[in-house]
Amino acid sequence: MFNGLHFLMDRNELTVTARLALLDVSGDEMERLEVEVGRMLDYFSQMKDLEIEEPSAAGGPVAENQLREDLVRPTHEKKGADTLLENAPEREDRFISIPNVL
Amino acid sequence: MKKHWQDWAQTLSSPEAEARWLEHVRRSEEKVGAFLQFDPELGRPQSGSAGPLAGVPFAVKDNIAVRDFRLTCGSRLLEDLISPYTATAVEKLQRAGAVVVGKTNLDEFGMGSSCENSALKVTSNPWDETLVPGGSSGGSAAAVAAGMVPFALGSDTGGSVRQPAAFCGIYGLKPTYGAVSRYGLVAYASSLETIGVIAGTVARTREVFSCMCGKDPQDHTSLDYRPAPAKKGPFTVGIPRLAPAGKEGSEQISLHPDVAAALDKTRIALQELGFCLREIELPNLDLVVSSYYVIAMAEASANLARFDGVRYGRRALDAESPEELMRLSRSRGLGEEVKLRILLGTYVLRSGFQDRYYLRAQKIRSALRMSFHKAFAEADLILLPTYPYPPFKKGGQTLDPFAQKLADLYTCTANLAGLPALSFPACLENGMPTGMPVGMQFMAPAFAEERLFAACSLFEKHFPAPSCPLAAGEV
Repeated sequence: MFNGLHFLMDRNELTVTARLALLDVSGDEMERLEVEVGRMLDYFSQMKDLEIEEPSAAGGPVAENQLREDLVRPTHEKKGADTLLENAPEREDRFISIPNVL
Repeated sequence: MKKHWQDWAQTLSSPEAEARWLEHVRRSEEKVGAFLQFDPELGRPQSGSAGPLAGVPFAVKDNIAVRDFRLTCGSRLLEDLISPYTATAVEKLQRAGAVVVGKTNLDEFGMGSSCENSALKVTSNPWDETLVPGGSSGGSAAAVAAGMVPFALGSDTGGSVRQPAAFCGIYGLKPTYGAVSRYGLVAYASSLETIGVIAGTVARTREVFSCMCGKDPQDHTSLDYRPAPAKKGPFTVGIPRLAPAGKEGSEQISLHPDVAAALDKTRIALQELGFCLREIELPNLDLVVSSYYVIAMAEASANLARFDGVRYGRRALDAESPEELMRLSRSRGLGEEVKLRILLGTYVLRSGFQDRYYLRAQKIRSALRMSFHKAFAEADLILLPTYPYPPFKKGGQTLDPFAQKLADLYTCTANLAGLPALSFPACLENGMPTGMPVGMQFMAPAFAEERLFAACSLFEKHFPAPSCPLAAGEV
């Protein structure tokens, strides 16, 4: 179990991972997350002795492809895309605005 | 209209009954805090006036979309989001006449076992306000147990419908993966989660499930509901041999004495009711929690990438570049448990680490599925405790977040294997030392929900759900 002494992910790895996940983590939060991440990875390490030959498989109990025609269908919302735009934090007419890219 | 809804169907059609109900909800809410939004008038015009559930009010977990209601997922980031559409499962119930009266509290994005990871509200257990209602569908379970609604929808990714149902002394169904459309359920771990039902009786659970299952063109993992061949009782119930506590190298958690006693009593009661009990093997049970969390977190890191403050949600208005906007919006809007799971999920999927974590987790998942296949060759149902502990205290002192994760052991197996499971209030005659509800669950083969209902209603006849004092004024 977790002994508080070794982490499987050092601070640098955690920072890189946070950057990939588009999260800023620093200060107290970083310290708390570092402990929790270490605890979980330590726990996951019990899988290392695993000897299972079965191929991996994902999904539900029935494995069959579900396909559909590639067709344009009317949206079932009353106001169509305008309903979606109503939730945009910043807008100019029917465009969602963001800070300048350049 | 079936008899089991009759009292409730009047609630919204007679002004006197409605006034009484609203008063009951107001009083209960002060103690419980189940709802993030309560607005029967908003839901009423969306429902049909005829159908098997005509006029029956229900609540929906706030990570399931209902048009014009908010869809916060218990997160600061989505606090102001109004849903532009309705989940298929909800729409089917509305077509059957049921009326959405509000949205219930949850652990942020469904990540937690206590409702304490909600950024927006504290929910209490209707049996004892110092206890958590369970989670993540804690608001839904509390609303049903307190008699505010006869049923509610939740989502179950690793036990999030069954565990709060167990903590609140009611029924919680996690259907077969694919039986109910996930369209409109905000995705957390897509290969594990299903929309489920929380209700006060087996008959209500069954009818709600039958109204909302079936294939949906909007969800390509949904399937035509083809029930498994009917099976007449008496059922054979498999009881997995649980490793003795403290076994070398075992991560299995020993049962709390109340839960162990409830399991024993339930076992004896089942035998007296004519069920045949048989011990079965479920190998690798000590690895399922690792497998479950690696898969759930990996999927979460991908699914939650969409919450970036660009198209909806709370945006960091001081950001000076698009990337900073996303980073700041996410960092300020998401809670710590959500960040932890995103970080771990991102990590286990990084190149170089996949073999060590994700692929192993998938192998354990396949092996578990095979063990269930074997187990169901010798048993019709499998009995497990829903959770190793009775409802715990608020504040994380009795059970910290890490211990809560390990305790998902008995519920997350059904999600990994895609199988249906129904949590029911265990036999509590003579009262448990704590006097709090304890839940047991039956698991069944895929699409054998009917078997779960048959077994649980037989048990319910002799051991009905305990009546929560707060619900005494029910309707």
